[in-house]
Amino acid sequence: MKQIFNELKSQPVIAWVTVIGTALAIFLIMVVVMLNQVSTVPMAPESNRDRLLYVTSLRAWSTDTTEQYSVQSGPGMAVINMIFRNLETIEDIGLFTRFHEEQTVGVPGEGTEIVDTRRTDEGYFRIYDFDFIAGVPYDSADVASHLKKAVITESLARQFFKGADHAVGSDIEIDDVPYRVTGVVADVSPVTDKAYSQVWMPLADERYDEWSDPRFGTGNTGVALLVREGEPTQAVIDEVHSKLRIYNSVRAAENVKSDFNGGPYTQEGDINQGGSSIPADLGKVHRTRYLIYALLLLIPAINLSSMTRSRLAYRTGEIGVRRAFGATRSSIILSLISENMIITLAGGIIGLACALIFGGLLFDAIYSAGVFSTYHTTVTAGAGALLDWRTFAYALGFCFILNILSSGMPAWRASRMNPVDAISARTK
Amino acid sequence: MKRKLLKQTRNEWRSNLWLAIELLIVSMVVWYICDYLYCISVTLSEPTGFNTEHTYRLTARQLSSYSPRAIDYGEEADQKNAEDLAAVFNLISKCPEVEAASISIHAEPFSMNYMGITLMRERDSVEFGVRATYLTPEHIRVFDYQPADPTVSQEDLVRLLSEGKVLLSDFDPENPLISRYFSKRITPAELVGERLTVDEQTLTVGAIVQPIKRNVYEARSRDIVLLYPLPENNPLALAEGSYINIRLRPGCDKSFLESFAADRESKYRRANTYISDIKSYDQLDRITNHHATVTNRKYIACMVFMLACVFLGLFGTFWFRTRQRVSEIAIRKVNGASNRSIFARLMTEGILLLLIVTPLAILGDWLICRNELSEYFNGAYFETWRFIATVAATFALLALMIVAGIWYPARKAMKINPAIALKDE
Repeated sequence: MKQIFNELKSQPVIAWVTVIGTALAIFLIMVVVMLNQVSTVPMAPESNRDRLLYVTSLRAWSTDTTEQYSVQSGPGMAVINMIFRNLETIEDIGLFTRFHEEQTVGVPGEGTEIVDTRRTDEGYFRIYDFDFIAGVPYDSADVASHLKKAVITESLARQFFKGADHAVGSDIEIDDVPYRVTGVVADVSPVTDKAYSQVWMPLADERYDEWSDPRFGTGNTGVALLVREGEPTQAVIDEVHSKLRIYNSVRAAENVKSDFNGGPYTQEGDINQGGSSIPADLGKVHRTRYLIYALLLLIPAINLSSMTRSRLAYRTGEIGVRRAFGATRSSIILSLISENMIITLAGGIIGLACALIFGGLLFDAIYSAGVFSTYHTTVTAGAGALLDWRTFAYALGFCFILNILSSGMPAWRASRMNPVDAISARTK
Repeated sequence: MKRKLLKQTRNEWRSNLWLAIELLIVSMVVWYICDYLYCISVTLSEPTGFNTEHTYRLTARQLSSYSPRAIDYGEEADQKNAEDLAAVFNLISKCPEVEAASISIHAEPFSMNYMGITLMRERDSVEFGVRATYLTPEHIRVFDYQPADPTVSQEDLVRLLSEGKVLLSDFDPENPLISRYFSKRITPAELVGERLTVDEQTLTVGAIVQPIKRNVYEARSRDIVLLYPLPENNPLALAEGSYINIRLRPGCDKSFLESFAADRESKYRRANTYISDIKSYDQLDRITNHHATVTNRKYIACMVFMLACVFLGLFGTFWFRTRQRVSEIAIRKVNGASNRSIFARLMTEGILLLLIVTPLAILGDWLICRNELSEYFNGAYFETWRFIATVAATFALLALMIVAGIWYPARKAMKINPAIALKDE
């Protein structure tokens, strides 16, 4: 340890360039990791992301070749009731409208505000752990009768009712229709895209839904399936597919055939579904991601290895002496790599800290969920997402790889030097 | 001198090889981003065809029948609601601050709605596809659309629309994006005054306007726009329109927004019809382009990172080199080398590396184009001038980084005092 400090002190420029280079590399790669992580790691209210499967697309087409008709939307209620209601491999099911909607909310005398709204069933509130500050969610009877009830965020409760406690039991007008507030939840960031909204209401009567096509079974609902604890997700997927086959055989007489566009999907699969009838290709997503990681690590590693080589050049004499006294090559390589690891870690910690601060303050500036996703709230990545253990594991892993890449080759070469040459080169 | 330089470069091949590999990868990545930014900036620099200063979009809605305030118009609901909307629109357009007001469908800037229809020239049945937009004549003044022909004035455009004629946007008949819509080559000028048919309806082309983009990020030459007039005196036709657009007189934005907010409920609500939202087009620009803005930021950040890597890499390597070569530099100085020649020598070493790598990098860039992995722009992945420009920009950027990286170590080398450096020898 002491040796490293002395060495760094004697070559401050090289030492600083090394630390800054490492910090820069780790900073950038960690920002990329964070952007990938926020949409997949479990975080409240989507704390069950690991155990959730989604069906958000229903493709249906006519098997009658003269008709030439196909449609893609969300599954409608009839399909949901036939396929998803009695699955044995799941613990719970939640339904929600696939996209949030822009609506005007207000309280007479308190003005109005345009907010994002979403319609759900009661199971949705069991699957996602919303932080209820006051009141409770609406129940199954409210959903079955499409009652005008609503859950709102804390911000809206503060704006219109001077606090959560006053809001519960009061009426809020949504597009001029009064809804009774049953509960108030802590604000939700759009990075948890299925749980996100500012107002939640019971699912609307599908008969009046423009998305719904009774013949082909489409609607505008997304289905979240909570996999039973200990059950492999594949078991749920298989069960859904077998039910889908039964559904298709029932509808065959009407020339209707359907599938779920490659679903049910995990959270990661669901967000990577292409727009029109393109099933998610996670292999491609991962390959692109690893290519980016590789580029972001390889370039700084080449730089850092030249720094390492310059530092080692000053130590050829020492290495020669150690070799002459019987140190093995592998022990020299190991000690050089582990010494270098300390410098890499120092840079890594600075880089990670910068990335966390950046993510905490400026996340909105670099996050976009897609061309058509717009929100009426600022996108934040909460501490839960930023301080996830996986973030640290990634950072440590990247430091390790960076270190091996940048010091492995120079250390190997240094260890292969003839001790006689090494010592004479130093003492020349 | 030159031979010596080459020899030295060869002698340090191991560290130069690493630098070269780094330069090669970075050069290709930076080129890719340069190409992307080139396409984006060319698109952004093209005129949009509209002007959104002091313009606002108002959303009109009807109360749901569940609302306790809803008035039941019964059978006449459609007609009555349409009349209410027309009345609200008239009130807004008569505000003293409002310079021009229009109702439109698919014609609002930044709206990504696309409605394609096929028109047929009556005379010879030539068919071509257009993007249809529907608007009241004043829309021309709200967004300051300009005629393509300088002999036609903006007032003429408004008048032609009021007379029920349609307008078409200018286009380049040679552009492959446009010509694929035509069954026969046709120029914009040939279409003026012509009768076109669509769905048993006949339209007369009044004039040609300058191309209108949907969005700043859309290429100007992408499609031909049809401007179809909505009749101002027919409330039912207007009720189909999704949005009201207004242009305010300069300097009136604040006062209008304040008085509008105050009167929104009392003055601008009529029976079931009300204004649910007002947004400035600048705001809509920001919202709809958020994804593109974020993407640009990511690309630029990546490029800056790559360039910073080159800078640090060169800086570190040359720092090390100059310190290793102290005695060599000293001897050269003793033999009469000037400070400047020492400096130039080190610089040339870096640039030489870049020159060696560049042909390989260009080959790599070309392969990226060949495999259609570059940006698709102007109907092509590869355009000679664009390729030359982006390759040159990449070379310049890398050269700049190399010079910046070597600068400080080379300055240090210049200051070597031969007497001290050679004392040990």
